[in-house]
Order: sequence, then structure tokens, then C-alpha cells
Amino acid sequence: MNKLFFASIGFFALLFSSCERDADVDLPETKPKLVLIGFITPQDSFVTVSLKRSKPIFQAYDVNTNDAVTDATVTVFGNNTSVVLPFDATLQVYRISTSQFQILGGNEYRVTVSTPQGESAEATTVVPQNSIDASYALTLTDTFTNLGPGYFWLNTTVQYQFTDNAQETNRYRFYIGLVLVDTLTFDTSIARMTSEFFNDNNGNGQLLSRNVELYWGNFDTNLNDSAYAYDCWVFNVNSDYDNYHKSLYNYSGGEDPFAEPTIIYSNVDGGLGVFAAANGRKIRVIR
Amino acid sequence: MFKKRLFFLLCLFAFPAFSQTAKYTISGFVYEQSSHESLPGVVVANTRTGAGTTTNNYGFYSITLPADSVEMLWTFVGYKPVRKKIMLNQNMQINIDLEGFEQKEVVIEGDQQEKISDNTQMSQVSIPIEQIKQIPALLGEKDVLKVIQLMPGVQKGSEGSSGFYVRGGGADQNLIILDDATVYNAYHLFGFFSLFNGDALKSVELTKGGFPARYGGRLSSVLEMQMKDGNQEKFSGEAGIGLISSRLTLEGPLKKKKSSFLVSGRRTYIDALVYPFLPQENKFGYYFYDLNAKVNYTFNDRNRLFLSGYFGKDKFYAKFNSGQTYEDEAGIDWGNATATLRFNHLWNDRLFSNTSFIFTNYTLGIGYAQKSSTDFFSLRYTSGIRDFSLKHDFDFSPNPNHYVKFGFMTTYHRFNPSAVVVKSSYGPDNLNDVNTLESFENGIYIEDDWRINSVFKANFGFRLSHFNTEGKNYMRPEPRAALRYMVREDMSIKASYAMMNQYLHLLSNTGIGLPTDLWVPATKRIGPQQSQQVALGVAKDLTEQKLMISVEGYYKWSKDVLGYKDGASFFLIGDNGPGSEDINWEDNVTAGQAWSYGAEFLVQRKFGKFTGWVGYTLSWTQLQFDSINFGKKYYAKYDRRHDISVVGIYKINDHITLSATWVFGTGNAITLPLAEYTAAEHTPGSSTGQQTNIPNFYWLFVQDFGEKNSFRMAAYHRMDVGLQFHKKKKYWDRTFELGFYNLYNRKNPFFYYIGEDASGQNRKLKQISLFPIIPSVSWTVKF
Repeated sequence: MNKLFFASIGFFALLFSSCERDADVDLPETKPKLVLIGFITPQDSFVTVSLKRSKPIFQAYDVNTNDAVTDATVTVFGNNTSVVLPFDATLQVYRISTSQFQILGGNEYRVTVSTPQGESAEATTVVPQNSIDASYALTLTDTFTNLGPGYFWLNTTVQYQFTDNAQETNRYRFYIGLVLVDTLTFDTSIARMTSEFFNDNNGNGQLLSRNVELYWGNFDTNLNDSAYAYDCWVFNVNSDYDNYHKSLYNYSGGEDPFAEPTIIYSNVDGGLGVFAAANGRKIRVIR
Repeated sequence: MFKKRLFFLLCLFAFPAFSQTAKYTISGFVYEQSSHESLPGVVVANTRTGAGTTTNNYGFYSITLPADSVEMLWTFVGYKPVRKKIMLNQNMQINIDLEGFEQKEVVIEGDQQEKISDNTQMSQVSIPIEQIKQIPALLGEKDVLKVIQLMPGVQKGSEGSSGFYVRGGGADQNLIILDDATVYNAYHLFGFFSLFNGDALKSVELTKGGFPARYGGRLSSVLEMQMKDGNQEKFSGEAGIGLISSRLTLEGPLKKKKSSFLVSGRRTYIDALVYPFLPQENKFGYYFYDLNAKVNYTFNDRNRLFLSGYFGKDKFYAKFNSGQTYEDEAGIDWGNATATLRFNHLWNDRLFSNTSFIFTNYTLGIGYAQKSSTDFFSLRYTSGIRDFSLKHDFDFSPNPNHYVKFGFMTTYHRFNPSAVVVKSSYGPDNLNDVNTLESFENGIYIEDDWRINSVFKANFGFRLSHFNTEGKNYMRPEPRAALRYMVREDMSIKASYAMMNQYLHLLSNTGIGLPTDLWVPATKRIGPQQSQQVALGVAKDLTEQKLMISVEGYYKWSKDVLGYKDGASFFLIGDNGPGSEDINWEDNVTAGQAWSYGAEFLVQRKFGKFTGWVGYTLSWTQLQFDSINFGKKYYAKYDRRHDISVVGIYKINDHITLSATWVFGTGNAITLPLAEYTAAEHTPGSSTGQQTNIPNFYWLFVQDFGEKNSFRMAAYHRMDVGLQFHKKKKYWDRTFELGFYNLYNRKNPFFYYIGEDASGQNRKLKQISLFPIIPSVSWTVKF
């Protein structure tokens, strides 16, 4: 009986002691790719493009994925012309003022990039024809609760409505940024609060009404004092913008061996990232 | 016009009876001689004309032939054929007892062999239970589903798992029925073993395509199992001791040739062995058990009653006593229960019916409790599905050329996607949140196995399925057709078409058959899944070599199959699980299409000293969902380009049987991270107006996966061997088995992850393998 018992224990130890080793498979040969990211809207003051590189996981390349590619030629084509975007060393992006190169609803824009190392990539996107009209309105309330030392709570409720653009299937994004003012320098910054994507559900030309409720759990007194306003945007977004952001929101990496990973959308030929467009309207609500 | 057609159809059945010479019916039951157990699937044929039929699930046959002197032959794999010369001048009932071969080789003449070329049905495999018991298995635990995985067109999921995928379909698209009762979760030990105890089974049959109209409710396959009725002649039994479980089967007559019973149980015992050695403050363990039971009573030659049931449970538990203050308990348990009451009635020599009342229940429970001398808190999450069904089937043999089956089935489904009960001494936290869904599933069918002439045989059928859920009715016609053309006496060409609908969906986070997978019904928003399948094949019998060869090609198109949207997860759907009001599961799934096509090759030898088969499958499976992979087609995880299985069982002599299997399969299609990069969300407003010093990006670190499921895991291959030593004792037969799972210790990947090399500087793709070479021993006695 003792023998049987120890044999059983031995077998179970063998059974559940899984074996780990290097995978014996041919891995795809991967090189660093250009990561191009640009969002263009007629409401922006600049046309901005970020350019970085990806770092292969299984091959050794000396790449820092946070570093901008500084020596590329970035050209934007559209409005029957083209413009080369200069590199802004402070912000580490390529950009040009929209006073020099306008972004117009309904137009197609193409961006090409090339580097002295021979890398190149390009992407094309079309700006939605219609923006959000003046029917866009909202009511916003927020409640700041001090629950005790180090425990604060900001509860913001927004009810908004706007008229859907008729005769087309639309994808929309609602976005709230909290405008913070430095009480000493009066510089402003924007803290991202929430964002939601939705489509018009074939409600052509109808008034769309939606509610958003959001919480900021560790919202402390200092932030509450500096929170000056809410910037509330509704964008009519194109499919590149919509697909990319949804994949980003749903992103789950390869940590869970049983879960399906999410592939980040890209419309960049020869690289990664996205060149996408939106056309929107903002309402600023002062607190 | 319609009336004319109806008249023509009626004439089709009736005309032969009036227009030709007098006809008489031979009918009866076929039994195993030693136990008087009824035998399904026995071929009954007129040797001169080739006209024939097979016994149904209850061993009944009926064949109507012209008045003449006929020679009838009853044949079944593993049994000596019976041949009788009959002067057919009246209806007659002939019950036949077939004698098993046991260990001895018996010479079988060519016309006495089972012929694959003769059967209209294609895409169907049946595996003798005795053969299943001789095939080597993981830890010596004989497993019906793992043997099914060795057939062409059937693919296993992950290493060691009993889950199976048929012709590119999902694991949820297989209808698994035990004595007419649907089994919703067919696995023990998180999928490593199936819950079917071979000692209690009489027959196992898998249909992969060309579905007869009597089957419905799933898209990809029907796995039908019949439990033994119980030995009517004498008290007998079988007992076995293995490394992780022991089993015992007892059967015998309650009233000789009138009534018998069978009880079969199995339980693992590693928990009991380990328990005394665990520290007092931390106790944990796992066990499963199952119990099959059946009784039957024969009232007379025309009426028989069966009552059968299955009950099984898995439980994992853990208890922790932390510092004498609190005691914590956690556990997960799941189990199936089925019960079937069946009544056979022989209306006349040509009309047989069976009425079944069926109950099936599957429950999953996850619990946690904490208690101290003053306080307590307990939480229990349960989910499950419960069915009550009524099924009524008729077998009608109006004339020599037709064998008609018709009937209906109605099922009441009660789903319990989630129920959460919280009890607490802390007061207001008590919660009793139970939500249920109800639906009705119905189907009526008719099918006719029609012998058109000496070379053409067809099976035409029609099923009308109906599903009522949330006040919405789905009504779907399901045409079925199968055609056989005899090219030569031993070779036929077969073709089939089947449309199937599936009204139940399985929500699974992993696809590996965990008990947490959840059955939900089609709803107003999420409609039923539907598939259409065509198959074309050639079947050939090599009678001298005792070989059956089949080659089949198939194409299956499915629509409204379910997939999880990118990023959605079962474990994230609401605090209370799917079905809760927080986030509806319907918001996290998406309907799409699937295409599966390929070819299957099978050479099988069912009897003789050397038996087994070689199967090869070449297949492609692609999926497309609007909300997954940006609407682009991609290969399914279990898309397997090549799949080979070789099974050999050799009886060296009356005392020793050697068996071996070898399997090979293309690696699973997975999505592998190739690179990392910094992506960005658009955070608008930052570059408008006065905020010119902030780029409008919110940076996120992500991975680049390339195309979805574009990477192949390493191929899977493995060899198992078993050696059985049989010995006849005075009162019993003893079998001792020595087995080796994964004989050459292949390190098959279970999953991959990204690790680091020894320097810690570079990342490497690492794999986890589950089972190295695992020897096993088991001991069985039969008395």
C-alpha cells in the first residue's frame, strides 16, 4: 500500500510539473518599423505628425520606442498641393500651422515619410465632410466630495445632444478634457477624462441624445482648485480614426496565453500607426 | 398541383405493395448471446438481392421482402455472423442472438463483413467499445472522446484535452448525447478526461456531416452514445484500478430475460491519499466521480421500458485557517445529471416507436466563505442549464425499398447564466441576485432511406426546427439529402447535403472546455447559428484484406457563428457575470461567418488479429467577423492543415494485446507579438487655441502582432503504447495493462509566452509543455 501511495504521488508530481523550454519554432524575421501617428481636424491649429520606431521583440536592435525620428522628411499632400512638415525639437513632432496648410472637410490627405536610412511609409485619410452643427448642446454637473484625508471623489454627469448628419452613416466620438490652470503661472493643461465612440445607428438626421457619468477617484483638493473648465468635444470621425481608437481601447497584450490579443489598427503602408481624421465641435463649460 | 404531388408521394410508398407479388415482413430484435443485450447497428441483409437494413438503437429491425425462399444474414463487428434460410410466406418475427468472437480469430466470408460501401450514410464513424478499451490512454484512463479525436476530420484542442473540433466547427457545435440526453459539459478535470465511462457504454457513433434529419440542434457533429441495458442472463461485473481512479460496474438480471440492471461508478482518489499529509491549517484537494445506472423491463415482445441516468461531479476545494482568527474556504464544483425514461412499442411488424422523457442538468458553482467566532461572510456564484424534453420517434418499413423514420422532439430549456448569493453577518450586504432565461426548442422530422435500384440508394430528409425565446420565434427548415451510387460490388460514390441550425451558444473565454464556459440561448438580438455542408466521397471495401477505405471531401459554410469582440472577455462581463444587468453578454459578442473545407482519408480494419486505422485530414478553416480583425478573414485557432492518426491493435495471442497510436497535427494558428511600439490616443484640444505647447497625443505602449493568427505553433506529435496481459481465471478474466503516454517524450507546446534568455538581456519565445513520457498501470477484472 505504501508503494502504491508513493507511486501515485510521484506520478502526480510528474503530471503537474509542467516543462518550460525555448520554443523550437522559426520566428518571423522582424525589423524596426516606422511608427507614424497623425490626427488631423479642421479645428486644429496645427497639422501634427509623430514619427518613432518599433522595436522587434525577438531580434536585437538598438531602438528606444519613445525616441522620435528626428531626421525624416515628412510631407503632407492635399488641397492640390503638398507641404513638408518641419521637425519641432521641443515637442519632438513634425508639425505646421494650419494657417500654412489648411485641413478641409471632405478632402483626402496623404502623408509620406522617408528617412536617410532608406525607410519609408505612407498613409492616406479622408476628413469627414461634415462637422457637428450648432444644435450641439449639453448640461454638465459635477460634485466634488471630500471623504477624508487622502480620499476624494469627483463625480461628473453630462447630458449632451446634437443633430446627426443626414444621408450618411456616421461614427462619432465624444471626448471630455478637464482644463487645469496653474494658479501661479496661469498656464493651462488638459487632463484626459473620458471618451466614448458610437455610431448613428441609422438615425439619419435625428437628434441624438446621450448621457455620460464619470468618476475620478483620487481627485484631490489641489486638482479641484485648479480645475477650471471642461472641454467637451463631439467629433464626426472617419473609419481610420474609429478603428484605431477602438482597437486601442480594447487592447490586451499577449500576457494571457488563453485570451485572444487585440491587434492595433493601422492604415500605414510600410509602417505602423495611423493617419486619421475627424471633424468636430467643442463646448467649453466653465466650472 | 400540390395535391397531385402529394398523391404521387403516397403512391411511391404504397404502389409496390399492390403492384408486385405478395410481400412479407421479417422483424425482430438482435441480442448479444451471452448477456441478451440488444445490439444496435447490426446489418440484416438478404444475401441474394442485397436488400438490407440495420437494427436501430434498441436492436430492432424490420425488412419487408417478396414471398420467396430467402437467405438472411445478420452481421456485426466483433460477432459471429448468423445465416438463416427462410421460406418467406408469412410475416415472421425472428430474434437473433449473436455470439461474440472473444479472443479467438474467426474466419469471415466476404459477404459477411460489414461494408462501408453499402451504407448510404457518409461522414460517420462508429468505434467498437472493445476497441476503445484497447487503445492506450493518458494515465491509463480509457476515454471515448480521446479516441474520437483520432478519427479523420476530428481535431483535438489543447494537449491532453478531451475537447474536439469537427470539420472546423467550434467545440460548442458538437451535440453529445447519452441515451437521448444532451450532455452540456462532457469533461472532468478541467477537460483532461471525458465523463463517459466506457464500461457502461454499448455503442459510440460520431456523425460529422450528411446528418440524417433525426438529428438537429448543432452545426458540426453528433456524438451519440448508448448505455448498456444490463446483462439479462447472469450477474456479471467489471472492476478496475488505475493510477488516479478506480471503477466498478455491476449488471445482472432482475427477472431473467424480462428485466435487468446496470450500475457503473468511478471515482478519483488522489485527494483522499494526499489529505492526511497536508498541514492542518491548509487543506486542498480535487476529485471527480460519476455514476451510470440503468434498469429495463420487457413487458412482452411489443413493449419495453428503460430508465437510465448519469450523475457526475467534479470538485476542487481549499481551506485555509489563518492564525486561528479566520477560516477561509474556497472551491469550484461542476457536474452533470441526466435521466431518460424510454418506452419502446412495436405497433406492428413494420412500425416501431420509442418515446423518451429526458432530463438534463448542468451546474457550475464557485464559492468563497470566511468565518470567525463572531462574523461570517459567504459568496456563491452559480450558473447552469436545465432541460426537460419529450421525444417521440417512429421507425417504419413500408416495403423493401423504403425505411422511414419520423418523429418530433420538444425541449424546455432553463438557463441560469448567473446567480449570486451573498450572506454576511455584516448586515446589509446580503444579496440574492438570480436571473434565469427560458426557451423552447422544437423539431419535427421525416427521413426515408430509399433503395432506388440495385445501385442507387438515397436518404432524403426534412427537419423543421423552431425556437422560442424572449417572445421571438425562429422557424427554420432544414433539408437533408444523401446519395449512394454503387460503382462496383465493393465500391460506391457518396454525396450529401445538410443544413443545420443551432439555437444555443457557448460563451467561452478560453476555448479549451473549462467548466466556466456558459451556455446561453439565441435571443432577439443574437440569432441562431446556421451551417450548410456538402460532402462527396468514395467508399471501398477490400474484403480479402478486411479493410474499409473512404475518401471524403467537404465544404461547410456557417453564418451567424459567435465570436468575442476584440478585447472582450468572459471574466470582464459585469460584476455578476454574463447576463447581469451591468454589461450584457450580447454586447461583447459578434456574429460572423466561417468556412471550412478539406479532405479526409480513412483506412480502417475493424476485425481480425490486427485492427486499427490510419486517418489523414487536409483542411482549411477561416473565420470572418465584422468586429474582429477589422472585418478581415483569418484562420481559426484550430485550423489544421495536416492531421494524421495511426492506431494499431495487435492480438499477439489469447493472452497479450499490443496497441499503439501515433498522432501528428499542424500547430495551432496563434497571434504572436512581433514588436513593441508607442502608440497614441488623440487627446484633442491640446493644439487648438492657446494650448500650443502640448502635443495632442496620449502615449500608450503596445505590441505589434502582425496579422491575426498568422503564426503557427510547433507541430504536435506523440506516440502512445499499451500492452495488455489477459488471463482467464476460474471465476473471472483479469487484464493487466502497462502503458506509456508520449513514449518518445515529445515536448509539445501547450502555450507560448515571452521570456528572457539566460543573460536577461534578450527576450525569447518560451513554451510550456504539459505531459512528458508518462507510464501507467491498471488492473481490470471481469466476472
